[in-house]
Amino acid sequence: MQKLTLILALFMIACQKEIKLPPSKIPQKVVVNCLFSPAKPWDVFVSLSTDAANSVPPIVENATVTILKEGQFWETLTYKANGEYIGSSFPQANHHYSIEVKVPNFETVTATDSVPSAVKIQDAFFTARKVTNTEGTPLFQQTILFKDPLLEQNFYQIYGAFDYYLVTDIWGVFYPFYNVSSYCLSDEAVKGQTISFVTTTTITERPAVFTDSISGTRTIYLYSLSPTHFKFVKTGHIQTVNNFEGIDTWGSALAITEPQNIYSNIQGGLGIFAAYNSDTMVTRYIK
Amino acid sequence: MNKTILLSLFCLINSYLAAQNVVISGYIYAAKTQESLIQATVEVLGTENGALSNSTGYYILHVKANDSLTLQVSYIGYATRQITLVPTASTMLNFAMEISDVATDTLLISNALSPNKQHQMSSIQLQAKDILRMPTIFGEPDVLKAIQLMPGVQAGVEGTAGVYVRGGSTDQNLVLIDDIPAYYLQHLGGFLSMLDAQSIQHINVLKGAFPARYGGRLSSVIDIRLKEGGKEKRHTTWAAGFLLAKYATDGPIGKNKKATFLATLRFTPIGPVAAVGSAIGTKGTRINGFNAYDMVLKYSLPLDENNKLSMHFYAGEDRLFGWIPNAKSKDTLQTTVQNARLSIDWHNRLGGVKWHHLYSPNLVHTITVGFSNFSSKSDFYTISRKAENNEFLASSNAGLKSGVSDIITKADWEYIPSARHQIKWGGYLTGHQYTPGISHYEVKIEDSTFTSPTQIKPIYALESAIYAEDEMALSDKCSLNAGFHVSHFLVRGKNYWGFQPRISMLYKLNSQLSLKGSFNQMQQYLHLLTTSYISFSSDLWVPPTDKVAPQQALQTAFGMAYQTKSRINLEAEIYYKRLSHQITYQEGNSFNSVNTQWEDRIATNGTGNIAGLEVLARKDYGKLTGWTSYTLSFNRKQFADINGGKSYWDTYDRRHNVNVVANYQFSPRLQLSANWTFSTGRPVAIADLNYSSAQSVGSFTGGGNKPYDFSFINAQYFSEKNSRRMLAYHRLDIGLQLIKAKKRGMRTWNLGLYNAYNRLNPMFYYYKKDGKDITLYGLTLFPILPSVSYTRSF
Repeated sequence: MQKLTLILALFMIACQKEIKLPPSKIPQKVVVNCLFSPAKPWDVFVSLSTDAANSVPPIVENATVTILKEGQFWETLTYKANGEYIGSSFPQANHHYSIEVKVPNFETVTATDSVPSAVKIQDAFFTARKVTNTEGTPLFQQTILFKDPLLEQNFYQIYGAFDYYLVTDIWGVFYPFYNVSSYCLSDEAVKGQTISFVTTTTITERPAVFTDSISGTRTIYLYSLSPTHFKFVKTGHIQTVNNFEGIDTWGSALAITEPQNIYSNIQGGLGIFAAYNSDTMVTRYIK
Repeated sequence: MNKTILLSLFCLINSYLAAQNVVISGYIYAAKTQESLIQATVEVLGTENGALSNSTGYYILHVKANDSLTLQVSYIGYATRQITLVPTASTMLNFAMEISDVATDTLLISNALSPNKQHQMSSIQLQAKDILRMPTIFGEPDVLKAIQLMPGVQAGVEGTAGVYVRGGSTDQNLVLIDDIPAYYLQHLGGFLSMLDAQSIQHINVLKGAFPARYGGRLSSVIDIRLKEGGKEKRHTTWAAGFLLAKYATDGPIGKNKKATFLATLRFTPIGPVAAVGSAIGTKGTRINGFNAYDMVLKYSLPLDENNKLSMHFYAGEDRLFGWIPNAKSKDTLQTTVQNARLSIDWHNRLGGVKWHHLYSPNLVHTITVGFSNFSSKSDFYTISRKAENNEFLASSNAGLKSGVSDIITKADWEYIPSARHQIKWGGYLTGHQYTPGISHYEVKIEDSTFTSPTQIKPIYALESAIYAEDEMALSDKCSLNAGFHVSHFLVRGKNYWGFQPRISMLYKLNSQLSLKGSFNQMQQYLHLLTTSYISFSSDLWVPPTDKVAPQQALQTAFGMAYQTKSRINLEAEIYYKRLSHQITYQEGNSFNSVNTQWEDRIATNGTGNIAGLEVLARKDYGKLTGWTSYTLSFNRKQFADINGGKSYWDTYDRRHNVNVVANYQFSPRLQLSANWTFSTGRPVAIADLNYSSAQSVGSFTGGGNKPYDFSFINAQYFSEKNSRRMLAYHRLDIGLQLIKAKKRGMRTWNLGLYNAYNRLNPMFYYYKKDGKDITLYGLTLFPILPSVSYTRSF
């Protein structure tokens, strides 16, 4: 907070000058993005990296994308559009998957990950409060209960709509995105316990980003992430925060914070191939 | 029985030596103010026999009995004195030094004992007037920024007061204020140091060849001695500049006027003005401001000829604050009134009591007891109430606190049995309390309270050390300082020991040229975790623990010192330093992780390899004085968990550094000063590639609820840490001093021009996105900046 205050003050009083640097010698890389779960068929996005002065990386339309299950060929994906390759099969829990992506004139890139079991939501409900937020919107207290398995290392992401949060246990990542928010947790401090995740939230009529309506229901998604997936989300959040979205359209203060690569398990390339599982529950309103 | 034998042996040795030599000792002080003069030179002309006065102005010299000799006493800015005598017995001889006229008033950085005759290498000495003359940012004379202009010292980020010595970080500097260590000494985010140059009498900076009496830090010793206050009459100075207003007074105190005192105060009048301005400008809806102050108090009392007592206290504090009073909001349910407050403050407080005792002319003993505290705190608080009846609705309170506190006791002895030995020994015991980032978070909504668990607790530790050293004249040409420093640290039941040998040597090839060499091992029971290139008060001071080892350094240096016939001093030194057990935040971590212990957020067992060449040419006499220095250095760090385990250029690796400092005295009323500094750009991580990266599941924003889909963000890829360089840094500062004697006292106008040719040196780089294009920009904080300040002294 202190550094952000100082940095914002600096931006207000300082001068800026364009810097020309010689281009990087790092060659272009194949980028693969795939977050997969039993809830949806295979869906992979392939593109290429670009130089640091260009924000529109080119998509790849002629890649060969192959999925392997337990080291054996499973499926070759079909090109759909805009760099997206889709399959017909669904990943399954507790299985190990690999991906191979061949792009002409580039070396083949590969990655692996395993789908974790889904941890079940025990209960989800919200109650009304008499307070409002700074915009005058009524606030509600939302509770989500789930039990962490004792003998495993688990990572969670709770998806729903929250404007405020009261994290009752361990490290959380919070980033708002069009009022859609997620919280990521590891079970290090609450192993084997029932986690009571309590937040304060708004409920308003919105476009269909939310499942809720003014009558007061909402669907909560509890994602169980693989360790690879958790590392990816954590590092992705840090790079997003470091990029200071909102200051003069988009900027990243490269020398104020330590640069942080987003974790990538793509061998020979960039991007992510990571698994998760999920459980859902429709919340109930307790008056 | 054993004690008797030892005492007899001691007397026998002393008697034997005394039969050959006698001791001339005494105090050297300024005639006008009666202030002790530290590191004044006393030489026996025509010989290599000489001594420097210590921190109380006391000197000891062994000379041959019944031999006619001429003693010469010299000190910067004072007329040299000579006295011829034939000592037949040990004599107490005090010297009152008069301020010299034009020639010596132009002296800048120097020691009256030229470097080719000094045993100590890798050192620089400064006096207050050296610092007061240098043009600086905002026109405020700055202790730490003056040190930044020395060879081997890096300045860090533009405008800040961080001091990085021979590749070391800011925590590796042992900053002593009258023997009490100080921690974060910077105002306003680091743009100004926290100590008024007006309160300083002498600064000794060591970059290497650390004598055994210093310990606890790896890279430098910045030994600051405060003034004591004049003995003859009261002096008062007040000054007003752009940023700070100052008041300083000193003089005799008490019934017999034997004691003296010093009191200084600096504060920021512009801070409250900013608060009032923001309130008026926003019609009372927002009030933002800042204030900062620092003060020094010192009291000195000579009890008798052999005993002196002194006490000192320093406090410096900064506060940034914001307040939103009574903001109203209305909705279908009610009208709500909210109050919000944000404050960020940090402070340094330290103090000590010192007793200085002469057992005999050649045996001096000093005991120091004191404390030092640094604390940093940030708080954010909001409360909501119903407008109609003030009924409580909700509140939130979040904050972060960190700091370190010490209780210190020290005992030092100095024994000079002959002209060939200066023996020092002693020890210290320090109790530490570290508060490495305690955060709290509490939200109350109606009748419910939610708090975050406080897992981080203070850490208590005990540090102790003993040392012994002897500076020996092996021959007329060769002297050796050999010693050891043994330290112990106890924390959470874990013991750490450090045996630290120290050795340095001087060999005089002739009267003008000498060669020097040193080797030392240092151990530091302290780490500083910082998340950015700007050292800030939120950086965490943490101790070694059972998981984190103390830092260590080995440094070796070789050098030469030469004085030309026209009294220009030339020095050159090469050094190599190896650091081990370094720590830093793991990639992606910072101080602001609420629920994780700091030990789990760091990479440990880092190493550093630093090598360099420093060259200095200095002129201290005449109307034109100053120096030119050049430093060539290489600084690499390596951690197993950082940068894929590969070594990388350290943040403060500046390949080339040039400083030119000049002062010209046209007349006693008019002086012109100029500094020019150049550094190779510092290493920085610039993205090598951009690419589209998935955001997390559920981040899809294309319309409709797609919990299993995701959106893309523009991601950056950095192939290697610190693989690029920022543009070279250079800057010219000019200062003009107009001095006039008034009916009562003196007045001085200081006119300054910081960054005189408006070089836009970037403080840091950042990207801006405009449509498809991403452009790299450099942010410059300090373009050309004029300054003016007025000083009145009585």
